[in-house]
Amino acid sequence: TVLSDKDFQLKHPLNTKWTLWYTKPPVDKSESWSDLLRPVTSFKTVEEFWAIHNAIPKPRYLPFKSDYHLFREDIRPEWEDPTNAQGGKWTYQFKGKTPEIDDLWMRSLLAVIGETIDEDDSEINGVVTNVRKNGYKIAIWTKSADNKEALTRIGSKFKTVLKLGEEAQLEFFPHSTASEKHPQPSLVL
Amino acid sequence: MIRYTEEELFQLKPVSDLPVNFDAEEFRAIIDKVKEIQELQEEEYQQFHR
Ligand SMILES: [Zn+2]
Ligand SMILES: [Zn+2]
Repeated sequence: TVLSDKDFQLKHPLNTKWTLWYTKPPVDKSESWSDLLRPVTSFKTVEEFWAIHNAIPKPRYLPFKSDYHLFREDIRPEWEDPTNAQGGKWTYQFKGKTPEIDDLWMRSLLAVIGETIDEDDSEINGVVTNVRKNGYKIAIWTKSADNKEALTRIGSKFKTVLKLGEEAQLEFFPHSTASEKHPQPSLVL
Repeated sequence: MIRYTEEELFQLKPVSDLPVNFDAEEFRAIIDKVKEIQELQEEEYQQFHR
């Protein structure tokens, strides 16, 4: 028998499964949150990641009020999910046009799926980008909000991934502050 | 734990188009539809707020 190429297609496993979610902007008042936040697809290998990345619109192409969320396993990209509830997010608000956003989002994805954003996989739950009229945001979601050592390490690395200079302010918000009118960051780098 | 540096991940980037396990065309169509509606809403808004 002749073996086809498919039999020899070796895929490189990622540390965990990842699920990509998309928040569709609302276009009429009848849409509920559960209509808008939907999983797009999941993947477990490097090759699948690239195929998906190449097939989907980049942040710059997305309509305002869109979000992309990439979360480990079946963690829902909502702070009420038990895996997120005790945690928070390192977030950076880009101002103005930001033509490099597609590249920075890709770098964030690679750092997360490649597990180079931290020393181990215990803290990182996911990464989110928000597309808004007043600018893009990228955030790393963590499992805890009080492990200052780990969070500082992650924040420093994230600043490098986003190519942010010394004067740029990266802020950490525990998810418990999400419902506050003017949440204050618990950490700033 | 399995780790890949950015460089390693780039090295594994396929040169040809790979199939995906979801309907990418449908996904893009949903996004294009939203953009269309947002554009119309913006035009409408501009019309009434001159
Ligand atoms: Zn290999
Ligand atoms: Zn008016």
